Amino acid sequence: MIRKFNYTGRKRIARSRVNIEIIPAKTGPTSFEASINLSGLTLPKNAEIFIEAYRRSFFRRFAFGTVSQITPPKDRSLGDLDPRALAMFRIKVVESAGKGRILAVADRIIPHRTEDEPANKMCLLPVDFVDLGQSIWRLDLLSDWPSLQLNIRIEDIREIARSNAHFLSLVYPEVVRQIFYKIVVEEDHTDSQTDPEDWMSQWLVFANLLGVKEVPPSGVTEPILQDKLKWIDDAVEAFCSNNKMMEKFAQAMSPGEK
Amino acid sequence: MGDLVRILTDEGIRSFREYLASLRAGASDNPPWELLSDFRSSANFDFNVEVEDLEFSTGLDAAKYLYEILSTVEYSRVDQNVGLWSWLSLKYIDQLCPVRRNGSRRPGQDYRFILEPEFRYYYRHLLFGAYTVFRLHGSKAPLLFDGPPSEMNKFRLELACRQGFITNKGIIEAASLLYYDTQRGRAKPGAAATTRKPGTLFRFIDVVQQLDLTYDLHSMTGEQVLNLLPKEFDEWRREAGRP
Repeated sequence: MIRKFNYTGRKRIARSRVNIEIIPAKTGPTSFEASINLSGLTLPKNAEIFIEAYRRSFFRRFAFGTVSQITPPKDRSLGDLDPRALAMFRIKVVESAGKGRILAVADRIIPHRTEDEPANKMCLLPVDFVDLGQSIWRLDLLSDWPSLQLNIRIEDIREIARSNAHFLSLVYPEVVRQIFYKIVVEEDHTDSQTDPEDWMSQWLVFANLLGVKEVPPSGVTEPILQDKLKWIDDAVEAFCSNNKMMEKFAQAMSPGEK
Repeated sequence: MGDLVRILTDEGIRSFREYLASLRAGASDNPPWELLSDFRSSANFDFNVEVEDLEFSTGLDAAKYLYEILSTVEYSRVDQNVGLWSWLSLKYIDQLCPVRRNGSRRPGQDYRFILEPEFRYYYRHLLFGAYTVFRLHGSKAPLLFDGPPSEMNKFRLELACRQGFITNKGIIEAASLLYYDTQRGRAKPGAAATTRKPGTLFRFIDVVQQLDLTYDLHSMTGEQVLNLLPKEFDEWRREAGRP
């Protein structure tokens, strides 16, 4: 079990207190709306709030007023960020007129897109659009949060990934398998309570919601590895069962279906 | 009058990769210049941009020039554009992968010439990496351009691979103030020692990562970041004229 210590004294802002929504524009750059709830965190009223959007070499910072008066700036445009690209967000509450000490932070916030699921639904697997050459998809497990990369060269790939039964039934189970392999086998992260805000913990909670009631075993010996692989098989099967993957696939393969 | 910029197609990129692989295997063939204009290996770029046959003495010269010629193009058409950056690399291959005394070339990994858009590799592209740093920091990051265009500058490699560093003007300026000798126009000797010697680049990275947890470094100037550094940086700070 991994324990994390916080020696900095700064507070953590739970992701559930923040909602970022990307607003696509017909022309020009995309922008975002943000709602932040800092009540009960006992932060100084005059502490300043900043929201930062980042992705690779892209970075934009927006002053959102103070704790007592949250004031979104008029210009919340994401500039030259490709509208399809996945940017992450960070909220910082910073000591006012001091040395710039951070008082509270929430990082790796995945924004919602208006065309996606409801804003109150947590996104476990954000989608990013990149040039993947001849590959259709790839799972990025090395960034701050796992994301499904789709090949930007393929027309309608967003829609295909969202509703095409072939894609859904063949790709997502493998995605789920790779993610759980990373969490349970490579990272030996088996306790969802270790750091509830962490993506690995949230995926373990997801497994539980799928109906996998047992927690995966912890350890690195061969018998435990076998048990872990069995746990992953069960989690993938639960995912497929919940999403009726075989029915979807059969329907897609039946004559008359494209 | 220069050449109109084009983009390498999948076929062009495949042939370029084959050429790079042949160099690694010891061949000393001339670059496949024909890929730059052949309609199967390259296609029109959507914008009328011309490039000239220039000699760049540093990566900074190359970055400045590319930034200038691409300034009229929508950034989203430049960023991630594998075909564009691969074409530009082939165009300037003699400078990015020069012929050595024995007639061979040593290209290293493909991602130095063929853009890999993924965050782990994009900054390692010799031209796109330099262009990106220049776009973010202009001439305030001389440290990250130390050396000829064919070399992956160690400071750029270590700082650009960290998203929080490369996008932070204060951190990049502080690193340049500490480790760049403006008189001589080059990085100070020993600044990028691979051991974690006190005050050197790798310690700078360790310390700044710690400071980043406590301080809002994005709001700070290079000078302010320098002031936060502990005693082990005193010698470098003194050399930079900031006791």
